[in-house]
Amino acid sequence: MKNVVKDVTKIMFFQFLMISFGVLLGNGIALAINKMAGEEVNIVWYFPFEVFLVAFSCTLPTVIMFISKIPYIARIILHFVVLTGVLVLNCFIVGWFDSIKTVIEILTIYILIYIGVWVGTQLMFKNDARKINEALKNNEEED
Amino acid sequence: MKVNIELVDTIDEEIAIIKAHELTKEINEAIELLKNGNSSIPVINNGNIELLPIKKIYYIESIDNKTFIYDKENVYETKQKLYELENLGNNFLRCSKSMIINIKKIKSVRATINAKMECILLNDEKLEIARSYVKDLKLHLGL
Repeated sequence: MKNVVKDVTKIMFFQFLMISFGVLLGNGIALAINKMAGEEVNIVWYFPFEVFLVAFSCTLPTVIMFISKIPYIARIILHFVVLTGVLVLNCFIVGWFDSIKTVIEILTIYILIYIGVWVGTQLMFKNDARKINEALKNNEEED
Repeated sequence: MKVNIELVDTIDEEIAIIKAHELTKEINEAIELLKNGNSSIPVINNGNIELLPIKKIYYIESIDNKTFIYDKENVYETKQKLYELENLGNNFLRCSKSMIINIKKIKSVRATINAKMECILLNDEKLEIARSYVKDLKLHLGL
């Protein structure tokens, strides 16, 4: 049990870092595009702290992925739904949803990050399997 | 590597001394063979106690507080608990909460969509390795 808590905490910490980086980077790109399009861009001093608060909140649904009694695909769907709810709630609280355009931008970045992380994880698993199969060659011992 | 063999009387203890610059994979395999190559464990087969050579074991599973040992074609019960069988040899690795696998009997592995690793044994039987145990498998294979 202690190991699971340690693993979950470690994963949540790295997710917090990745989400913070992803949101700051995504927002930076969106602001750059808006600026190049001739729009006025404003950013407040407390914006990074809002990002950290939202990032931390978004790591909390991670515990769903460790509930082994729920089938894996169902866990992914539940995690996505809960995480979307947490994100939308946080965005309203910190005032990021100030226009339809902003809502679409934020949700688009979020969905792209979610799909990217899922695809990246699957590719990592496949790479692990490839390395293990290479190492298993000449390892077998028939009866 | 130079090999010296000295035949001793049957009253003397048989002992193997290996002098090496480092413990390579080949030397470790030789040690494993010398230590456990001919070892057997007692199993119950149709009410009779038999000795099953360790090198014939494919995997060991614990179900409902009973421990079952599987070789290529048969399954046997043993009085020993799963944790007592973890030290059968370097080739035996825990692959889930209730299973120990002989990695010498793994033909190949495949990443599955539910974040587990499916392994195909030499007798074409399929087992699942929980994601949390894949790290141990990789470490054992020197990855």
